[in-house]
Amino acid sequence: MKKLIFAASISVLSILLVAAVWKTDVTSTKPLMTKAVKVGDRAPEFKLKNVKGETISFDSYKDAKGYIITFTCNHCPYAIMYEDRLIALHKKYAPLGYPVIAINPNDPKIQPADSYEAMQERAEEKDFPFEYLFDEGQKVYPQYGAERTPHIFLVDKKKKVRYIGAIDDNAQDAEAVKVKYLENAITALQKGKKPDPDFTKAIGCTIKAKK
Amino acid sequence: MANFVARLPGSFLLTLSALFGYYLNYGILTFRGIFLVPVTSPLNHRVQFVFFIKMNFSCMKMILFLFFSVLFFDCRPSVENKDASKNSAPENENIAGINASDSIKIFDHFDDMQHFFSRKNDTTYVINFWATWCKPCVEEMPYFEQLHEKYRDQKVKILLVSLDFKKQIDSKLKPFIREQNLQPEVVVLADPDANSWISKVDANWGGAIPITIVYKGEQRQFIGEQFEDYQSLEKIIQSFL
Repeated sequence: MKKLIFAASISVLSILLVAAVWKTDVTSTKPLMTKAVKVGDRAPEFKLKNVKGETISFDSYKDAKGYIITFTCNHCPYAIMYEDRLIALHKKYAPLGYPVIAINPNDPKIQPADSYEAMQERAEEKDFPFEYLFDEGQKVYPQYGAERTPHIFLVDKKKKVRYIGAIDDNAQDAEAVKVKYLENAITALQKGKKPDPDFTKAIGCTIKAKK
Repeated sequence: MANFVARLPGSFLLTLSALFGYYLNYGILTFRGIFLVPVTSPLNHRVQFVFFIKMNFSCMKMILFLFFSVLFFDCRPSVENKDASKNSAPENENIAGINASDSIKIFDHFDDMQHFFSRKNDTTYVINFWATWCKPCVEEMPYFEQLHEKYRDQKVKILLVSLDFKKQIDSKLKPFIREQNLQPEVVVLADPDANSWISKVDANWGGAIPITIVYKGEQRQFIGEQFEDYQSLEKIIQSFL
């Protein structure tokens, strides 16, 4: 009898396992948008946990002249293609007062590859020099109106949003980039000018949220 | 041949179940029986049956038999049949004029395909932007397949615009099309400067996929999210017919 129960439970378990593997990563795309910020609007405040467990907000950056807020994540191929460019951007612009602040907006229940633990692993693996924050409970990204990963919001010293959109004009091939939208926008801010363009679009992954 | 590959997981499952069945019988049970367990395939959402067999005879033979039977028999219509009916359907002229599933048209510039979005006739065009790396897109693929199947004799044409990376067309996109036996027409858009063309597709689109555009003449609808089920897609198409 014991043997039978053992065998039966193994079969049930194996079926459950197969079903679980098939069912994971079922993602949804319903946006929880309240009101998306536009260029010129005030950037919504946030207080989010970084991969070391510390709470980070705008106030964590005392000498910042601006902030490169990037909604990004672990799993999205487009986010991954920009990882090295984000690292380079932070290394170049953080000393000039424009740090990259990466925020993962995805619900790990829907995309397990974007869990807090997975973020910690990725940050260590890639040795992220910037803060990688977890939008726990998905409270922040709807306020910004982020719709995809990666999605950039360049914020100035007065916490005004000055540029929204893409990092550059070629996600797949960093070598073939012709226009560096984000860097041009930062340069404009440094010169006290208005970024042009101040809004661009890019292909990306939907932000994973429950329906 | 590609179909064999697609069926391999099923065969593997069967083999596993056969082993369990053998184990059950070997241990305690004295009666024989065959149990059919419905299992939904993750990608095409079609139900396939997994056999649970309790055996008290040559286990090896049975396993091999099952393995090959799944490999060779399938409840889905065969590729050959589908292709034949497709070619014989007079309405089946593709939007981009491509028939062979193995030669996928690649557009390096969006402008070269912009005319797909503004045809002036009484056909309802359904254009979906997707990629094999996009999970919500892959999930809704069966709905487009079903739509294609159901409306193949009506003035409805489906175009699946893949945003797969150029270097993954042979390694990811083509195998996906073969394994899923995708019938609607697929083209690849490989124009890297997405900012220049996203708004030309639709002003409301930010760039996240999937999205779908349905239009007939001047009538037009933009669906900026994944379809929850086949019905929600079909409902929109019906409003155009």
